[in-house]
Amino acid sequence: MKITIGYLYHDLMNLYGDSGNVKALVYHLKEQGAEVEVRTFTVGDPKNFSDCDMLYIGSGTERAMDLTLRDMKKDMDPFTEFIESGKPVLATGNSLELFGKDCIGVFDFDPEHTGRIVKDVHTKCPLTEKDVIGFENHAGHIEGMGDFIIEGEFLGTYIIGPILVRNPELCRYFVHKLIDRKDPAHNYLEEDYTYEQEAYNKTVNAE
Amino acid sequence: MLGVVTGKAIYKLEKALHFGGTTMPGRVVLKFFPKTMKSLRYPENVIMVTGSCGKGSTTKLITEVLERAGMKVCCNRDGANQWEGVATTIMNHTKGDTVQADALVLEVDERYLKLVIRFLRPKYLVINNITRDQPPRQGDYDIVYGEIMKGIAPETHLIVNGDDPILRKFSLSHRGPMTYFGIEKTENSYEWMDDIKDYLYCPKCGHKMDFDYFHYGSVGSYSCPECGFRRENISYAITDVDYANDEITVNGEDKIKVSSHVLFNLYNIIGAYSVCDILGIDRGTTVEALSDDRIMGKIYDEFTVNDRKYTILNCKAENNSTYNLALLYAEADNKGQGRKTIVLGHREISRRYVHFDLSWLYDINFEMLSPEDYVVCTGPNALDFAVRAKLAGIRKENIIVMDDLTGIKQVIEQKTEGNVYGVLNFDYVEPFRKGIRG
Repeated sequence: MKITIGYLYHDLMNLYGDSGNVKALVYHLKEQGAEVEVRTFTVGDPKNFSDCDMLYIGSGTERAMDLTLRDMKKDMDPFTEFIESGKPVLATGNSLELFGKDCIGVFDFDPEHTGRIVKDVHTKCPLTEKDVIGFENHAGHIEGMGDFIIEGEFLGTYIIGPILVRNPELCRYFVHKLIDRKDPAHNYLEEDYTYEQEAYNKTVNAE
Repeated sequence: MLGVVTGKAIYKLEKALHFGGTTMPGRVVLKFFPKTMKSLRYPENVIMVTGSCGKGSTTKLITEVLERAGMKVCCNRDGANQWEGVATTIMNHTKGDTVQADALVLEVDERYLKLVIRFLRPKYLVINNITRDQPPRQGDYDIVYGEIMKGIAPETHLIVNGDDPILRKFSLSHRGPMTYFGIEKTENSYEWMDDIKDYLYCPKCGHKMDFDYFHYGSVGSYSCPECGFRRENISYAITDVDYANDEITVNGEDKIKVSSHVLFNLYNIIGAYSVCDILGIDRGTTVEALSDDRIMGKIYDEFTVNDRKYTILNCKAENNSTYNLALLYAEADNKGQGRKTIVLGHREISRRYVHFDLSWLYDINFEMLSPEDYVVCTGPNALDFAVRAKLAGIRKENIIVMDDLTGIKQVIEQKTEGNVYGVLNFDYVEPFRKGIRG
């Protein structure tokens, strides 16, 4: 079983340890015996996502966001088509804004930039039983959004952490989704989230 | 002057009462005697040092050179680098309305520079780096760049690390003189590494830049194929690094002894050398002072206990570059010597705030380690380090988790092999040293 993760603008949108989300996915997919390829797509690259099973994008500085958006706007169709195809997309940190109304406009949310939001997060997540923990450090605010934007298989959140590292349950959610789509009959091998789970418990219990 | 008298009185009172006394005097004077600081008579040579890491060390190096050259220097050695602290330091060196010094050498926090220049504009400003640093407080490096920019007076002579594209970016707007220092390609420079790079895209036009080599992150030799923005005009360059003899050569001539090859240390030295040369200090004096490793002793330490070599590399939590440079150092130092042991840990992530942000751990390139290396994870975030090491491909059997440093020596001796590198936040350096040497 081969799984390909498309990592968007890895050399621009990687400000707050975001690549850790990809590392966590790769590790736990390999644990299931999958062959994993991380294919990067950045400025100037053709955006051919046909082999990708998932797309990921992380946080960037304002300048990195501008450069990224400038490139995305050159050909927005591949992004829109991928999201509409129902394959999973994860956007963490301020990158979720790129999909909003004033950017490539896949969704109609419209962030305001009124001052930095810097805080620890401990919140309910519709995709997990346990609460999600993490951190926020960004300048945008989307009225009425809550902590997650979930549209089909698109998950956008300002939460960094990296969120998939600090929340083993959410990481497992994506790993299972990717594997089940590829091989519904997959026989799950042993998963090791020991350190991740202990770290999660320690944080939650310390609060 | 009443302001100075008041400030000094508060300082003395606080000292007598055993308070720290570095912030309050400056705060009172700046608030109640707002014109005082501005109206003092300052020496001609006012040197400030700012940036994300190494400003304290660079300040001390410059001060050492100037003092050996016979100058009386006013320096905030205590590290009080916000504007109140800077004001306190200056007042304590002031008699009447005159600052009693031949030169002011001040470390200034990158966010407070814009406030300090309200009362004192430096003739020279040294900037070694702008890195990812304390993200909850600082945001990101572009924000820090903007904050420093607000603190640069047009006439100030900027002396910056020309190997770093974000620092050369100041040349796009600064009208005053600029001098660049840097390090030429060394045997440890590399062509590519899949690590975090802050500035791969041209600061001027946004096009992706070409790099001949990297020293770390996006620091190295860059050039933009689109607009021509590039590393050039390096007036003060480390042209050779002799790793075996702990010596560097500046501009092919001056040889300086170094206590540590960690790149930030080399940049601090060449930064200090540059400003001293511009000031016209005799080069022999500069070389002699910068070669004195007592100034830098606390940053780096190497010793042998029970046939194991220990190297302590002082890092700064929430600053990925310090860890990356420490790991690069360990890789180079251990080359050809088999497995090594990395010890990670801190007592607290920050003294300034209680946020629990771990994202910076993923901006550190632990992937450069060998899967066979040992990683000893210690302290309150030991589990988080362990997750990081696991995801970096370190074999699970080689990851050791400890709540604190109790018994660290036994654990290292019984469960690990090879040279030991303590890649530690500064608050774990002394406890670790004590744990090993007793």
